[in-house]
Amino acid sequence: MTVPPPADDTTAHTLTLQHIKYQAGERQILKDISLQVSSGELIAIVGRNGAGKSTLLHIIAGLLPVSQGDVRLDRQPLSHLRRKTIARQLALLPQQARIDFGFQVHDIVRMGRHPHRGRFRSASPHDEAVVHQAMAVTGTAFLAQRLITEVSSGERQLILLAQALAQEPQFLLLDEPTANLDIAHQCHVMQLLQRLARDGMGVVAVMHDLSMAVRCFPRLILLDDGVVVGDGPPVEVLSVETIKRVFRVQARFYQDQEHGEPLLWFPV
Amino acid sequence: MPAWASVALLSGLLGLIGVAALAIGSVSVPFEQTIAILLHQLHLTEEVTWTPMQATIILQVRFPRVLMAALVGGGLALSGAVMQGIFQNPMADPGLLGVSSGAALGAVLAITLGLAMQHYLMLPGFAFLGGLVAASVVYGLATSGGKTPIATLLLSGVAVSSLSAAFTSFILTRSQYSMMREILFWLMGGLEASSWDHVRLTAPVVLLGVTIILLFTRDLDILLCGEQRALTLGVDAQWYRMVLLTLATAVTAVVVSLSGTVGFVGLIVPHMLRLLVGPQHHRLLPVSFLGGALFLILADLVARILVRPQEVRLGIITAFVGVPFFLYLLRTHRRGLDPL
Repeated sequence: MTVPPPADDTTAHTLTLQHIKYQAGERQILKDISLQVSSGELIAIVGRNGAGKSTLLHIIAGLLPVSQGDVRLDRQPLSHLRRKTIARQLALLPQQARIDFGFQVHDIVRMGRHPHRGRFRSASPHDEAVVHQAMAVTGTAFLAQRLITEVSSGERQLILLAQALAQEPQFLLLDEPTANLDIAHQCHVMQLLQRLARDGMGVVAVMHDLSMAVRCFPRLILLDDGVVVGDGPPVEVLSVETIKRVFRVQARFYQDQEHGEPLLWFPV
Repeated sequence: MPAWASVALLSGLLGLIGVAALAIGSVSVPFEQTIAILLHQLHLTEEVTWTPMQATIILQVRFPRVLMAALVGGGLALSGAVMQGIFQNPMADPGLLGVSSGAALGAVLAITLGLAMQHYLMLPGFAFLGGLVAASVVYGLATSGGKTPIATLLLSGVAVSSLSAAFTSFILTRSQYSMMREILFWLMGGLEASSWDHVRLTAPVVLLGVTIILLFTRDLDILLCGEQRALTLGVDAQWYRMVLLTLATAVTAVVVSLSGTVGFVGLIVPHMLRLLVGPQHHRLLPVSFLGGALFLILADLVARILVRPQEVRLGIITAFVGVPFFLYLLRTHRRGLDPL
């Protein structure tokens, strides 16, 4: 099973944040953040609760107006682009999306084609093929005929991931994609994200699970109190000292005997 | 049931019931003659087999009334479906933004000030204004800094509705017996005053509003995935919500100003039809319009013939006919209705 390639897979794309500040009321949530995300990267944003991780993700997705600075997709500031244009290149999977209406799962995933369809154009065979593919890679094809109100919360998360993939975005942003999932589904989603990145998609996920972040993401962005305090390979960003300073937890790293992977241990 | 089947079924029923509603009444006109009168109007037959009085009853009295029933029922049901979608709330009805209670207050003012006697459009005109003013106040109160949070909007709607209802009650208790009776009649809804003038006023607004709403069915579906998902799917949630609310509210204000308070249609008809065709709006909205029209033509027919020669108020019939049917559906289709 192959992953649907990004719409334009020959050129590399970049998302650039320049000196972003974001203020909500009196509170300065993001203070001067600059970073760049390129096609094919797999990045985890980590940090304490309230560090501004989700806010940063929403800013990258163009959902919040920045107080200062700008977010650019390739050279274009997001604020100059139409919503539908952005939606063809960038998809965000929020932490929890409630859907109270009994849509069929297949119809939910097909909504992902919205940015590619004209107002009066019905879904083309190509649209249907992309939808089919998105359900196949997320392992939700068997749910196609079920109602979204009748699946488990983990399944709903995967279905919404399929919907986001049906957008064929160049950048995929996820807010805690593994939070509601059992261990098998967590593995499945992580493998999928790795494969999407390998095939050229830029993937950015907010992660709370540090052990997962360290093991699966080649690049971590550590956010503390609205400032990027670390950006790079996991072993450099998350040292024992840094974890102690930022999270106030005395963690330890172990080497996995069999695979040589770093394992994060922390006292409970 | 596939969508085309429901639309075909409802359209067929609508035609059938429509003709029946023309034929049946205090003066009964045989079915064949009713159809012949209609065909004659379309210049499809030349033969005349009816009395001029029968033709007048069908064409000048009942036809505009049946059309008004269809427009009011269809408009309310479709607006209800839109409101339930936008608010993701099964209890949402077309009067949610205070339109119905505002319209009632406007109508009551027109009656007590004696304006309703002066011109036949004074009453609906005042009702329409009352509805729009109430809805604008609700929207204005709930909006700050360019944002209109849904919870604030719902609460403002409830508050303004209560306030208008209190004003209406106050005026009611202060008015003379004859006026009190007229006010109560209006509040219970009815279509007996319908004329071609009413149809000419209502039809363009309702049909235009409905047509524009039908352009946004896919956006409405996507709004149900939540605001954040909708935004990153390319649907500007705030903007579409505002446009759709305005359209649904305008349609409601127009029909309510002419029919009085007709409860139940906008709340329940969309729920019943979701069971048949599912929540996708490109199916649900057309079917709701047809279903609401059908339901109100039937209810108005019952209102006309139940205790002849008097008429029962339409609002009473919609509740009497609709509630048991809805409760039956609720018992038998619990799963489909849960949570909507």
